[in-house]
Amino acid sequence: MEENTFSLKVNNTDIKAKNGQSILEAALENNVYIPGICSSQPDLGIGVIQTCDTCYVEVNGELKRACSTKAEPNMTVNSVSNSAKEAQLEGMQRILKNHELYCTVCDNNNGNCVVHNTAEYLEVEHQKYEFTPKPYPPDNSHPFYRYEPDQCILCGLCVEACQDLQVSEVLSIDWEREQPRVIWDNDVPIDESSCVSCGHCVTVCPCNALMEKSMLGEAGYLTGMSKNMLEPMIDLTKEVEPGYKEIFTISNVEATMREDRINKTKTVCTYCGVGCSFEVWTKGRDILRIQPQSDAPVNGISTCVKGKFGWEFVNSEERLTKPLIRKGDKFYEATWDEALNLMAEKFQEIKDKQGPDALGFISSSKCTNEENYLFQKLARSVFQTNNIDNCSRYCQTPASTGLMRTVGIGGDSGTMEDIATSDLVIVVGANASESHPVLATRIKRANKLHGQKLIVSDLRKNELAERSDLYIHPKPGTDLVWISAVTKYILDQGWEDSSFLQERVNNIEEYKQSLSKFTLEYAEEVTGLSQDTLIKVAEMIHEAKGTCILWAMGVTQHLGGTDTSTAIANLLLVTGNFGKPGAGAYPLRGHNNVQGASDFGTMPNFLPGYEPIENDEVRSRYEGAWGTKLPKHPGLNNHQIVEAITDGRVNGMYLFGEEMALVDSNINYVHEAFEKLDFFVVQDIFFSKTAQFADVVLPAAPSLEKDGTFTNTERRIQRFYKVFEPLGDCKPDWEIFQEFANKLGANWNYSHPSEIMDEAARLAPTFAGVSYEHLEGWDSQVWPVKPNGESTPLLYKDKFKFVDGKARLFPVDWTPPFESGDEYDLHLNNGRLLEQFHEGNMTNKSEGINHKVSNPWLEVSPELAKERNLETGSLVRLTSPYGKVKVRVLVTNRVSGNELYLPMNTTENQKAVNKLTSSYYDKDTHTPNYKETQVKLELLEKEGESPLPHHNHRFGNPQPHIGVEVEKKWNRSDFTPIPEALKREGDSDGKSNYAN
Amino acid sequence: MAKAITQIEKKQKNLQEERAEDLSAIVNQIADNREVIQDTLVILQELHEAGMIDMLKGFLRTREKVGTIAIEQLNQPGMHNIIKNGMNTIGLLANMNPDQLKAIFGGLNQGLEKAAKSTESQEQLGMWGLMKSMKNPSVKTSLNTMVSFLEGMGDGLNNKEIH
Repeated sequence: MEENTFSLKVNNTDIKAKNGQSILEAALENNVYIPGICSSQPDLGIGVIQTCDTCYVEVNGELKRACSTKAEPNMTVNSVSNSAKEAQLEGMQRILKNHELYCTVCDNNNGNCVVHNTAEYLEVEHQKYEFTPKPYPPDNSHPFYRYEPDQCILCGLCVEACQDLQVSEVLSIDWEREQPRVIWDNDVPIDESSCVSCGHCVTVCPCNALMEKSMLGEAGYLTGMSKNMLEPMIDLTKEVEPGYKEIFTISNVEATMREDRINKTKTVCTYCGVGCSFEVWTKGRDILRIQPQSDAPVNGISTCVKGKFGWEFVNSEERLTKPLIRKGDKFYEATWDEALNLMAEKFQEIKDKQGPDALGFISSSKCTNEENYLFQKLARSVFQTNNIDNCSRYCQTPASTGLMRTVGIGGDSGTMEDIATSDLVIVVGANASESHPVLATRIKRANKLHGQKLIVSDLRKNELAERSDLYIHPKPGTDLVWISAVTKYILDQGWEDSSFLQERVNNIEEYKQSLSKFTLEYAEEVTGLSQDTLIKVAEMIHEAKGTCILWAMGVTQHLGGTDTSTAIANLLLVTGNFGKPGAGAYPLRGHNNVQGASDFGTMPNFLPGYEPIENDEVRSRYEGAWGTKLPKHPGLNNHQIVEAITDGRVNGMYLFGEEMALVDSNINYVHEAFEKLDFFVVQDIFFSKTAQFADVVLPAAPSLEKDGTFTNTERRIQRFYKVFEPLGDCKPDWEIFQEFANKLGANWNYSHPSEIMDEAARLAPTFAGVSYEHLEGWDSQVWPVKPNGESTPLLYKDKFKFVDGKARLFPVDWTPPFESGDEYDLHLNNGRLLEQFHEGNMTNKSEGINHKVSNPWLEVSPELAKERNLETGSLVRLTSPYGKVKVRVLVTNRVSGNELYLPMNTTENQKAVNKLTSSYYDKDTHTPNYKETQVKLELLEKEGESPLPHHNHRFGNPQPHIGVEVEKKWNRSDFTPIPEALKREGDSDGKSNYAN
Repeated sequence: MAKAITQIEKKQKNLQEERAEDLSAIVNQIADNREVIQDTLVILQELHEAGMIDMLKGFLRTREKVGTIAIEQLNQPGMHNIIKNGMNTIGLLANMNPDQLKAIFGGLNQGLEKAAKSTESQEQLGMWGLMKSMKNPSVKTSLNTMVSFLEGMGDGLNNKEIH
């Protein structure tokens, strides 16, 4: 790095710059401030926006924009000379022509307003160009944010964010019209555009033009004032114009006062495995805004609609606030003592009479690492059973198992950075744009701006598929076949990474032989993909310097889900795509703590850190620490627990933070099982469908009401802080476990989750150096963490996680998908969607989100719609061998032929997709085969209302282009470059009007 | 055997219980802050006797209307001038050197005294007397100061763009 740096002079100070840096970047890095409103978000899009013109500096006597002028060795730069300041001020004056300064009564006056702070720095005294309102009313159509053209300074940060960071390509500035403004799509109201409500534009807006509605009238002391007070007040301020300096003094005082009542607390999002972190701004129990910061390790300033706007549920009237006890056919509110005593008595009774294994424990991938640790400790040490599992059994256990077979660690090989910088990304059976939205933005951006290639294999033409360089659509359930055929073709061509294989991989010959059946011809026949396509895929992998393969439920939720995951790892091994940056295997974890729940031991066969319970050395380590014997044999998993309830072998169950009655497959069967339980405890934040079967319902606190850590899909452990006190009598899950354990004499004494983490770190070598001190603020740790606290963002750099350090190629064969019989002639795919989280228990408390999407819909291809006489809005009944649902149709090109898609966003039985799914499962891990469902379809009503409102983003009309297109601004007849304008003014009146 | 049920019987913590809990919380807080609260009560009592509370009550209850009227009144040209002049004057005072101003004010004060005396005596000063007074060192100093002042003011008027 050293030889790439050089020095230059800025304002008579020597500073160091790196090759390729602009003057502005170099100066800011050296703590020399140069203004620059449109450079206030350096992580955006293409980098240099050049719209604000406040960063002019004098370079060798010439005025230049500091943001777009490269720093050069020995350059002399002056940002405070008369002419530089004059130019900066002129830039600011042009901005103020578009922006009324009424800071003290503005909701953005929170100390971080870029426009305010820049104007203050430049010592703007008076308005040079009169502000005139624009001929556009504010756009308040969107449920979560507004656009006020009169405040918009046309910097285009929002456009950059939308076009090049989020890459939804909705926003533009229309530079052609008399009065330019930001427009959505081809100039439609925001609510009717293709806006996905991710909030990027609002986050980056340097003033109050784009603002969360939850902030308006709430953030300031005076901003809630009624209009007939506010307007004359602004008029008065303008009329008197005491000079902005005085106004800034007052607004600074007001901004400081706001700190007293607005709390800013860091949290980690609970809506998917990406692990976005951000500040929650609160006033009392109201959430004013979600404010991402560029320091956040995973997402920077990015969010999706759920993370940015989906938190209303914390204050929902429907929250559980008291323990409930079933008596007859009603629940009665009870005290904690009553509930916990009853639980202790009943569980003890079952344990004594039927044995410890008559109890089952279902843990939550939505809850913290510490809570998962404590729950498995409860099951194992207090109740002496290993019958404990979590919901990753429904989604990602096959992926973890496939990786453990081949490379040894069941987790992503690298981080988001590797995905973003990879040459080639292959996405198999994952809809990242909707299920991992912020991760998808990194792929879309790399593909749009940085030449990254993208291959998508999916049944649905989802957003990533639309954008991909190559979209392939294999027949359902045949991914293993095409992946193996591509691997074989690569080996046949001699394109494998032979030195990597030789040095780092075992079992090569046996594996090669196992591939013999996967010829291109065979693969073409089974998958329906042409041989040319398969060769094309192989060529793209061959040509790429590094390949990342991302996959999710489309791969794992099959009879052969583990095997397909294994085939992916095999392909990556053969091509040497492990242990180097920009490559590797990325099973995308669905929920916020799918990774962490399993990591911290809520699995029937593993103690924390994936150490086998059967291993005597490992077990005795925990026995010593916990002071009790532990059962040796692996317990039952989720699926087996339900089976065992049906057989009468399990009679008592404790479940927390999991809507099993809706999200497990074949829910009719699951409901029957629940009905058979002698004693059932459900702990949740809402009265869920599952809770309806319970004997005791315990009110838990959501993440915003407690401290803890989550582990995201990258294996990154992040800490979150309590924002609110728990509502009513509800309690953090870990406190409930502790109180329950202590009723049974466990004598636990944790006063804070950090103490639980300390215990886990002491016992599980994988987490040896994890501690809350290393997780302060935005700091995070990526496991394995060495005792000194050092993370491992990239796995397998030196060795794979096997005794000899070598990976293993693992031969697998194809398991044909489950067939329900000819009668069931349509294939039903299913999954999540962007706006609602999972079944929707949390997000459906948000009016704004329900406005965008409130119901599930059945996606039907145009071909099938024509054949069956269906249209958007038709009501149909779907029937599988296991149940039926009634839903409305949406005709769309996203699906083709006889393939249907039904998202899972409902809490109503008769629309729930899992009424249709079966109880078959992955042969290796018991993950249900959700994705192998066939149905028949009957038309019930031909006409009806569309299940998806027309103001949903899926009906929008995006306008892709690169960034804000500042050239269009410069080409306007009323635009004069600032140096030229100043020169002209100088010529006409002999000297400048501005002395500073 | 437990069928799914949805009915929840809320323990109506009867209103009295709830009130009692709230009250005891408040009473505790009062007891903890006894002195402050007693002092506050005294202040409130005084304010009440002075009629201030009543006035404040009226103002708060009509704050929207009063505020609008006040703002309307403030938002008049005359008021604008007052505010602007006020701000300018404040600016002027801020820029003046207090020592110089003190010297000038000192002179001004004595000048005023003499001037007042001279009006009392009602003596008319003739042309000759005026010429003669020019020789008086005190008058000279005064005139000198005034000429310098005029010079400075001229500079100021010619150069508006002082920042």
